[in-house]
Amino acid sequence: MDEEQNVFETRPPRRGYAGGAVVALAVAIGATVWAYVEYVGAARVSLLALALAAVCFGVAFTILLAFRSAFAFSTVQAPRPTPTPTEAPIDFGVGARRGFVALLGTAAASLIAIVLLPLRSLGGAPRPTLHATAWRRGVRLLTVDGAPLRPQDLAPGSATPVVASTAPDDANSIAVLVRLRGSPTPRAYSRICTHSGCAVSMFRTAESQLVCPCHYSVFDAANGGEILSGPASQALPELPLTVDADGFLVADGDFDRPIGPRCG
Amino acid sequence: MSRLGRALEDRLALRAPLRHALRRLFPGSWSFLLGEVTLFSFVALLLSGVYLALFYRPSLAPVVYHGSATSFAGATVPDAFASVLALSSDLRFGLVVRRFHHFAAHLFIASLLLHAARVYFTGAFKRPRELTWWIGLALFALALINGFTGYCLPFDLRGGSALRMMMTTLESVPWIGGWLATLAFGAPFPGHAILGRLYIAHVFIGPALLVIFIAAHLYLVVRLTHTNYPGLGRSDRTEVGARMWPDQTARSTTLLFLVFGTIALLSAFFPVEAVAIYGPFQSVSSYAPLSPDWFLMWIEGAFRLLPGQLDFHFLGANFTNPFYGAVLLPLGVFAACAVYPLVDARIYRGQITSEHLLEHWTERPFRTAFGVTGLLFLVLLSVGARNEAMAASLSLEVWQVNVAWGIVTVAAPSTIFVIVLAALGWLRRRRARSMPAEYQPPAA
Repeated sequence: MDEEQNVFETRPPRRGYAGGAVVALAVAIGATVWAYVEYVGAARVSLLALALAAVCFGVAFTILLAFRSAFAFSTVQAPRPTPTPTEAPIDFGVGARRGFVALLGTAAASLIAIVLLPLRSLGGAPRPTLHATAWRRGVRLLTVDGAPLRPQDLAPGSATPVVASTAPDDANSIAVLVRLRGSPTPRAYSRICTHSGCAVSMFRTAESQLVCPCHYSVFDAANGGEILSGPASQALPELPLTVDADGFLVADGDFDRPIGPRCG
Repeated sequence: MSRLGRALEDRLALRAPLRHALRRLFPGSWSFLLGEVTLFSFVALLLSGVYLALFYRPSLAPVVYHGSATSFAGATVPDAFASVLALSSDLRFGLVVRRFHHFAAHLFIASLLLHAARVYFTGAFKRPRELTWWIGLALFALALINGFTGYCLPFDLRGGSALRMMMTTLESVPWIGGWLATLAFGAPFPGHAILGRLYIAHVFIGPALLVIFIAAHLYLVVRLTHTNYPGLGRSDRTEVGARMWPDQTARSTTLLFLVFGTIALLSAFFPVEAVAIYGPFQSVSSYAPLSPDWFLMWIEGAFRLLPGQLDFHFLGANFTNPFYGAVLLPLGVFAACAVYPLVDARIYRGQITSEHLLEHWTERPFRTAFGVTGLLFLVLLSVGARNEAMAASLSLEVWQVNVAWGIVTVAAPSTIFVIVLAALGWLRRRRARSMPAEYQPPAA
């Protein structure tokens, strides 16, 4: 069975391909001209993409037309050229020499070790840097615009993000200042969700709840950031607050627990 | 031309092997083209990606943006974000290519998924093609990872938040998580190193591995020959299809341009300028609703649906929700796919009579039931990633939706499994009864 047994030929009509190619070319030119005459910005981008699409479709039709002009399409039945396994598996000729494998293994292990060592330089030790914050006793709370805050600056029933005056760009130290309804003093919590590290940026005034919009962990702002529902398993760390000599809000120490998600 | 051909033939003697290769057969069914669509979208990704890489800057350094995107004029934004803005607004064809790359990525993963589903439900993974299936799984994992790194790179609010979750995921690995996170990020979030590293992963390591695995996958396809749907003239010794030259060459090159055209058409009608809408990532901000791309929604769903009460402490390590959702779940799904060919061979031992002919999904009740169950589970998990939308439309609390949808996500696939298994089993028995004895398959 060396040659094929059956060949079935078909000759689809050519006219459809030629028509398709012509239409595609017209669309491509039209869209390009229209894009530059009429539009700027996003609409022009869309028309240029349309022109690109038309060129691609036109090329597809042209290729089909070219092949169709030269050949008939056929379906063929032929012997299947599958690999034929032999009785004996491959023999590298090292069978009895067990030292060969051991030596190669040792060489490979040393190579892996020496390649792994430089990877250590990719990052430092995880503790304490991963959860370290800039909050110390006396560090002022600033708004994201850099203004210090007095306790009464925040309206009852509202929340605002705050940063540490000593490290306003430190992502670990970002907190949220909330003033509950009917409460004279605000409270501050870490703004980094203990579930997966998103900013806990929603505050439900009526329920005094802080909500993370990424996965909907809900924390109780009236009760030390305790978990109410959702995938988080650690309460939101609270920042102890006090007021400095000038009447501005300052931290009275670091958060009451490590910020952010816990290490595994 | 003929002199060139003569010269090449004199030196390389390619005529015989080339003639052999061009006479190879390719099956006629459209479902065999899904793999080609995947391959061609990968080509589209490489071409558009090289262009984008020329303009992207993987840096978190704050810069003042002076470009034509008016909403950010004069704003201080991360350099990476500014470069994507400039690419989109100030470069003549930048946005066209960005959209093209975006939709090429989506088509790549979507066609990969469909191709894998076709292979699974027709049993094309069975002996001798297990290795092809495993390499395909590696390709799928690489595609998902590269999709993820790709949408992190602009460092918009969505990408930055995704990066934060990636760090949390690394951190969540028991015992070694802290080290993994600092080794990847170099410092507390976001650090200065991550975008550079992610960029190398996205434009070099990922594509290089994809190319290597695609080459291995295609080599095995050629070496082991294509499968055939059962039919006249098709058996383990014969195959039916179109010759590589000219028929399949015509079809494939046409398909290549149809794929490119489709991607371009998607870019024309579905604009993706979300980067400017989300704005640059800032640690103080998050955005609701925040979802990853559709192909990672199942992981997001697990993040949202699994309650914090499942977290526990054991031998000095914390087992937490991100570990379940983003480490255990994907590992479990890929492990299940990887061992499935071995399980299948055990279940249908003695019943599989052909190595190269495909099977109809109704012939293999367990295979079909298991596949449908797995897919449904992942779809339901993905829908769970929009629990906030469900809560809003039903006027419920998100946790109530979590409880209800969690039950649905476990119960519905289990029910479907039993139903499909029972229905196909019944169908199979009925067929066996109505078939004349000489057509009965050999007993197991």
